[in-house]
Amino acid sequence: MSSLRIGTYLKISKRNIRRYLERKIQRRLILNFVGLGVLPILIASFLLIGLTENTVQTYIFERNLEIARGASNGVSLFVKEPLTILNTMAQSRDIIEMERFTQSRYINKIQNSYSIFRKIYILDRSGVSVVTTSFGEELKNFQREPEYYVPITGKEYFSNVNFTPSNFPAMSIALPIRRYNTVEGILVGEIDLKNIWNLLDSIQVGKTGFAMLISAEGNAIAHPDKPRVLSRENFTQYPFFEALRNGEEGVSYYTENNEHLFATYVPVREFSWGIVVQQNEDEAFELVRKMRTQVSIFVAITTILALFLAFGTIRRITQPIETLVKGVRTYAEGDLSHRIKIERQDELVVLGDEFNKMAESLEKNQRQLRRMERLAAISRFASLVSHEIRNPLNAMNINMQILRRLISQTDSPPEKKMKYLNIITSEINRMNSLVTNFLAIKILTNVNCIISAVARWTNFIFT
Amino acid sequence: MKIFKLLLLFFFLSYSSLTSQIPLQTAESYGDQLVIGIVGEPPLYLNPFQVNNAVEKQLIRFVFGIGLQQNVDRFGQTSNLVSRRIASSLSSKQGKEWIYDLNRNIYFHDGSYLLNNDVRFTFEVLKKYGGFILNREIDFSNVERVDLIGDLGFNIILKQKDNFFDLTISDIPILSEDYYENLLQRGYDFFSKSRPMGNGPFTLEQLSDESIILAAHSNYVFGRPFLNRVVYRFYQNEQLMNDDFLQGKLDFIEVKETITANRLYQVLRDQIKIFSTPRPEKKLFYILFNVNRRPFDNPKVRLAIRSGIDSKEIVDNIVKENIGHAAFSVIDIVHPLFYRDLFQQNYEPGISVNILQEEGWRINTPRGILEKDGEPLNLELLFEENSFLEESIARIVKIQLSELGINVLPRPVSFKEKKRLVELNQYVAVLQDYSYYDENIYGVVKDFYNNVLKNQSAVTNYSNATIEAIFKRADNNPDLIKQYIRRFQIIINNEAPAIFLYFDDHIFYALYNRFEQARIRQSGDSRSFWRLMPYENWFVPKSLQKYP
Repeated sequence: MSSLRIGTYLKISKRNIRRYLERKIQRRLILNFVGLGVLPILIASFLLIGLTENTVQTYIFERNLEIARGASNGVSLFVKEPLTILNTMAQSRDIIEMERFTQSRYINKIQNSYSIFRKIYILDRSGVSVVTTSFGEELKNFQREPEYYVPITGKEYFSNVNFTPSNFPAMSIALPIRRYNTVEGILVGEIDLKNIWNLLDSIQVGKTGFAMLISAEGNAIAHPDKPRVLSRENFTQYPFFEALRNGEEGVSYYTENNEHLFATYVPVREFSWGIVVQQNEDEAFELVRKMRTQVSIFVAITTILALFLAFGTIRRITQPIETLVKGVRTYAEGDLSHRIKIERQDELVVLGDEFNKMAESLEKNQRQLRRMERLAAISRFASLVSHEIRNPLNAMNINMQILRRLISQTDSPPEKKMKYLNIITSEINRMNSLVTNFLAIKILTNVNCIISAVARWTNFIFT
Repeated sequence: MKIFKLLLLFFFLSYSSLTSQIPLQTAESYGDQLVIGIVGEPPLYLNPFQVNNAVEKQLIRFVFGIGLQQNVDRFGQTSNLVSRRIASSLSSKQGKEWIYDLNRNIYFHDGSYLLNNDVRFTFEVLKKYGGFILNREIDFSNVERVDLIGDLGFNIILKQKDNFFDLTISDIPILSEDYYENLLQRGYDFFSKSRPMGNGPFTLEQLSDESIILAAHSNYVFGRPFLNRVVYRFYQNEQLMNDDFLQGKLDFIEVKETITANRLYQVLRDQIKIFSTPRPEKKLFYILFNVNRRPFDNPKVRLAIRSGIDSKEIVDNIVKENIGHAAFSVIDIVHPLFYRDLFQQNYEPGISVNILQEEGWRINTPRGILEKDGEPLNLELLFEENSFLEESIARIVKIQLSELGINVLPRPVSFKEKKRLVELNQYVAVLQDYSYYDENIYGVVKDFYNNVLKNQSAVTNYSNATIEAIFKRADNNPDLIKQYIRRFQIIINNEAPAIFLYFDDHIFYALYNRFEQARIRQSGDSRSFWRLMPYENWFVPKSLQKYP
């Protein structure tokens, strides 16, 4: 029902538009001009903007992804350094053959030289810490800790990111110490992940962009806004978290504090962590926005200029036509004295001159026709007058002859003579009346002329 | 008309934009409070004449005032309470008669004026009971009398000529005679029973086991402090204090070393400023032996251990050069009374091994630890738990001595426990620090011997009859003090009851940025440096104030 209505409405609109356009050449020309000239500019511009936007966006995404990949590699290397140190220690048979005293000196030297270690423990086969750099934690039992029960099976162990009592991020690495392929002890190193902060703090993308490191549990390990790390802010609700957990890299959009943001994310595969480079959309795509604005302004100005030009050109074409139409309309109204004036030098001027010549010719012909009509009317009038005058004159002539005869006859009675004289007198009166009527006709003709002029002006004014 | 209105609007907008950029004036910035973190225990009460540590000294300064004159301390100088008119023009009285005028309108906290009779009263109290400010003894025995002139002037007549008497009276707060009239009869115990009352910029509002709250003194002679309150909050260890600072519960803390300072800055960045000021007092870090414990009752073992410790490595790795420097005696190397020959002593692990071998210490087992008569050479070293600085020093000492076969067993304990164990002499070795002002170096030397090395509190630790004899002689003959100080240094160097590690030259402060006017630039002899502005001059612009 409604589609039918819409169809009808469209038909009506189409018809109205067509009618509207059909009525004036100017409208059709403008439509053609816009269609052929301005629309391509607009379409080309919008295509260009879209293409450039896509290019810049792709570039920004790629750039941020590259930054995230670099940071991911940096983080991997950062954690691999203590891992390498611990591995070297664990794989050397010396460490298990050392005396406790020497082991203690060894691991304390390592901790003193590498600030990344918070604590180092050497556990015996039963899971008791026999040597440690954490003074006061000697003989700590790790039996129920994964730092013990995973490496005792011969595997390496990487803990989840945990937080120290001061809420700084840390993680443990535990490696088996083997002798003759049996696990003789376990080397545990607690790593201070806060040192990664320097690495990520040095990353700045534009004015607002930054990089953060998210743990497998979604907690911030490194973030430029340190209270967010210290408060163990969780990022599991963010759109990039699931993708990172699946080991994917990519781009996601989200809103935070009414700010439109986008994040490029790359996993740190060894530890199921993720590097997220977050940037404000407005800032990131400022170049695109600027470009879009500039191109839009350029297109708008070009379109306006083109329309002005089109109007000017079309006006130059249609104005003489309008003058011609007006002139012809004036001729049609009978004013052949009107002359069409076109101040140009093209074919339309010739056409105007031809019209003027035609009007001149018509006026001349009309003048001749009127004269002839007037002459005919005068002749008709003269014959009418002569006829009308001749009748009383004939009557008077007859009556005069009869009267003459009567006068010559002496015996004719005077009454009889009077009778004929009266007839003559009445004929004279009739003639007089005729002449008076003719005079009246002439006055009426003048009055008619005035009435017709008034009517013409009134008509002109009201139409 | 329309243009006129537009112009008017333009000027209005320009004015508003300009005025919004003008910083708030200090006059509008009264309010807010400063919360200071301190590792340690608050004093039980405030006794202005028995000042045990730098924090107490600060508290005394804020509550009881700066005294007639102010000495160099952690804060920039404020004006004195007195103007010294003249030392007598008579040459016979030069240095014997000191004439002062008190400034007008100095108010005590109860609203009464400070007058010359209060000065006389204070001097009488000190003459009777004496006192000390850290290691500096307050000795007014040379004051014969104080003559009053009008209500503000006073003459101090000395028994013997003293050209440096000005120094003697500096930093000693003046008490209100009316308020403390019972002090002369009841002694210093009276301070524990009365509410402290002075003429300082703050009044004591609350003193508890955890904090001390000071409130602004509105009639303070140099103008009401901008801050409404200064709160001292006391912590069991450094870590807890740092954590609270990170969480914004504290505004101002002293940081012990650059590594922690960097960590704080890494987290708080633009919210805080970290700055250092030269330490006006001397702060010496040392390892103290319990000379009653074997084998450290043997000076040669102690000397061997000293030779095995490279204090330069500690300075380079932890303290950083130009923030601290190696120590060779209790007296700093820049002091004229430092015995120069000690400067030659250095890290000599070879000598150390030789000494130990001469003493019969051998590495007999694969363990790698020196042994004698089946006993390993273990050194249990107490240090303050959760102190990054002390743990790092302990670790370096452990590494260095383990090269020689000495098994250092660092043991973290709370500062209370450390204090208790040291008092009871129940330790082997302990890492400690000692602060002093070096104007009276003889007093420092005596104090260090009596209160640190000897530890008279419970069980005597190190004692030396020769040292005690030279102190007696020096007390009787001040002209020989220089010579005896040198001898003291030689004896301590030869017997090594303590190993001097380094002097900490700078204080690192971490302060939240909302505080203004916290530092003042001062010119030293050769360079400019920053010093803390007294807290009464600190302010927080209205817009940044945190506490109502």
